[in-house]
Amino acid sequence: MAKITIDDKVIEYSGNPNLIELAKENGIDIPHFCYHPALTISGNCRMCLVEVGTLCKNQQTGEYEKDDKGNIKVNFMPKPQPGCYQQVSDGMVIRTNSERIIEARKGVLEFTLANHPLDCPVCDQAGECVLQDYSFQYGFSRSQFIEKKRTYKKNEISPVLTQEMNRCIHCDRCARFTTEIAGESSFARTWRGNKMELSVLPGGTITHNYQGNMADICPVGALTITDFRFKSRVWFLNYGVTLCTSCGKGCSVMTSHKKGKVFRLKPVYNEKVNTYWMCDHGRLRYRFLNESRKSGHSAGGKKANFQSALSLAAEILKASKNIGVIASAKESLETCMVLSRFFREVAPTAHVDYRVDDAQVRDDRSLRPGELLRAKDPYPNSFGAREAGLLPGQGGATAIDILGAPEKFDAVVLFIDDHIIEAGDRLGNMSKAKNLIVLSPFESSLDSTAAVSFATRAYSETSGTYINIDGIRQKYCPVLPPLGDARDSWDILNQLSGLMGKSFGLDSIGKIRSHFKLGD
Amino acid sequence: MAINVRAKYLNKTEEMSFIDRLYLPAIVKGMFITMKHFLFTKAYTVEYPEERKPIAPRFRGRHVMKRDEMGRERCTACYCCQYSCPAECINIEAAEVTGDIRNNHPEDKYARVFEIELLRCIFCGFCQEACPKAAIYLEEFYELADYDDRSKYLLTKKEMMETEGKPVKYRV
Ligand code: SF4
Ligand code: SF4
Ligand code: SF4
Ligand code: FES
Repeated sequence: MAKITIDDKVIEYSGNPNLIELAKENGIDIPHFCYHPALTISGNCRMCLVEVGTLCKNQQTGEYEKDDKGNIKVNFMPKPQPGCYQQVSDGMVIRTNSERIIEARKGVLEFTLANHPLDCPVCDQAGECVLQDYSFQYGFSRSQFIEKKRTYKKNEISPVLTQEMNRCIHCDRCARFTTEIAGESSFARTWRGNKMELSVLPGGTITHNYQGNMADICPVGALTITDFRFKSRVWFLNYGVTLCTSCGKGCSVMTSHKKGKVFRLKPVYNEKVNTYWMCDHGRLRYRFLNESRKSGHSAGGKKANFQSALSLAAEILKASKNIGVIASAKESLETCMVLSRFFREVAPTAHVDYRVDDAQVRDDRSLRPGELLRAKDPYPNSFGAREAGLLPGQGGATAIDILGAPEKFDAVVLFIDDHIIEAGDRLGNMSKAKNLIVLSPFESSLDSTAAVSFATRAYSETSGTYINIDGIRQKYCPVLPPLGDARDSWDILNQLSGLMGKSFGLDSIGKIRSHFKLGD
Repeated sequence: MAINVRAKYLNKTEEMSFIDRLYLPAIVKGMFITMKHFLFTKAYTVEYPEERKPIAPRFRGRHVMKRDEMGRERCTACYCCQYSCPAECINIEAAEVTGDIRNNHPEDKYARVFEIELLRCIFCGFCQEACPKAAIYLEEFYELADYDDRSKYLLTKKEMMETEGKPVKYRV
């Protein structure tokens, strides 16, 4: 096994690792701006300077030369080297915190800050800004730069991004992302040296669906997301890791929330699904978690407490022979399992279906054309719903049939999710349904006509499992407290089963997982 | 224990002499002290509110928000004061500077709402210390009492804002 020494720590490695990554894995931080593990190495910021040395070998004898104390002598290169594109080789000795390096970093930071405005009070990046952190950690508080700083106007370069060129440190990450990951060539470096600008090329526009990532990887506040602009300072936000539910891919995301309101989503590294990125479509749909949320149950358009709503629903289901069920693939695999069992054993019906979108009908598991992550299927758990068997039985009506003519059924159980609300007129006919039982985390016009309307928890407030288009199972946990009296869908179904005389006794997510053998 | 000791002391009665029983010497002595203070010493009291005591240069009274030399609002809604306030009584809402208010603000962001709940404020001055823009100061105004309306204790930006370099006209 090859070995290198970083700051007196002997590290074994195999293959051809990147020095910054290798050091990070071993708990040594090499500061960097322009290096990003998913992008090509550009080596322009020089923040990652390290001292590189090799063991001293006698050319004639082929033996290592030793000093007086018997240690092998190390020859250091006369100048510090950028760590990001340093080829690691066996026996190499790296110093990341020698006096020379500390001095060099100060110099680099002084240059980086030469044109950087003192914008932290205004800048949205403050608090999660790499330049801010490094200035505290490695920089010093004086500057010899007395000339005028270059200034630009704020520029909304696309509907998603706002650019403040004043703050740019020319690391080139955004331009590399655009060409390498998003595959567009409309955004690049223009002009040179001090006057360098990152700009949308004349006649071009940024149209790709991954612009938010450019703001994420921008180490400073030069690119920020317009939607989040001035909404909150980042140090007031709490963070929680969950999944994006806006398409079948199910990217890992982090919510930033405060007082129960979500302010933004950011991608979280997930090797198997989304690596470092997420799409703008999903990023900006966090709004559904805040807007028109339902916190209480209702019966016949009036507020009702949970128990009375529950017994009313049980009566309706007992009395009806012909029940239509439109499930939602936004519900977790656990809920789908309970739901499927409920309409097989407790209130048997063949008219159960989750497929309200065309992509689901085709069982389409492909990505949208030209997309990196976003799938055609707008539901995160279509695979799971299929696995749970939420499909029409013999002679059963499909979801589209039920949506088209709900009056044919004695009772309709309808799960309303953000996608079906967004799609607009899908629910147009539903007010004709005879005995409508709605389960939804969102308010809708059907609440007034529904016989019973339950408030369920949104995915950010509960735990569960999704199976994405690639068949990858992903669990998620609640990141926010539930709203008001909202219940988990599986909880409602389980309690209904009790009221209807065939109790499942599945009153926790753990019991459901072990009962349906979903692993723990 | 302590109470018992004191009770014992209070119960002690002394036999008064003839002179004591006359009371006159005691009255004369008392009048002498009163007249001494009345005629020969300077009064310590101040005829507030006509007269006021001078306050210390670093006195921390009610908050004032400053303008810069061009008359623009200094505060840029950075939330540093809100973050440092131990009483959590500052409420800020930031907004983008657009259109005709541009002349009023040096930066892109400004505080659309800036409120201080005076009843919760402990006048520690941390907000003043935290402010990177030298926008908020606790100055000499201290007459905060009011008798009819508690909503007056929600200090708004308008009430705090210095007008064109002149000190704020105080309400109450
Ligand atoms: S805008 Fe941000 S990511 Fe792009 S070059 Fe400037 S600092 Fe780097
Ligand atoms: S003086 Fe202290 S308590 Fe009052 S607003 Fe300022 S920081 Fe808060
Ligand atoms: S008063 Fe000062 S510290 Fe408070 S938000 Fe305004 S600029 Fe920031
Ligand atoms: S990270 Fe190595 S030069 Fe920028």
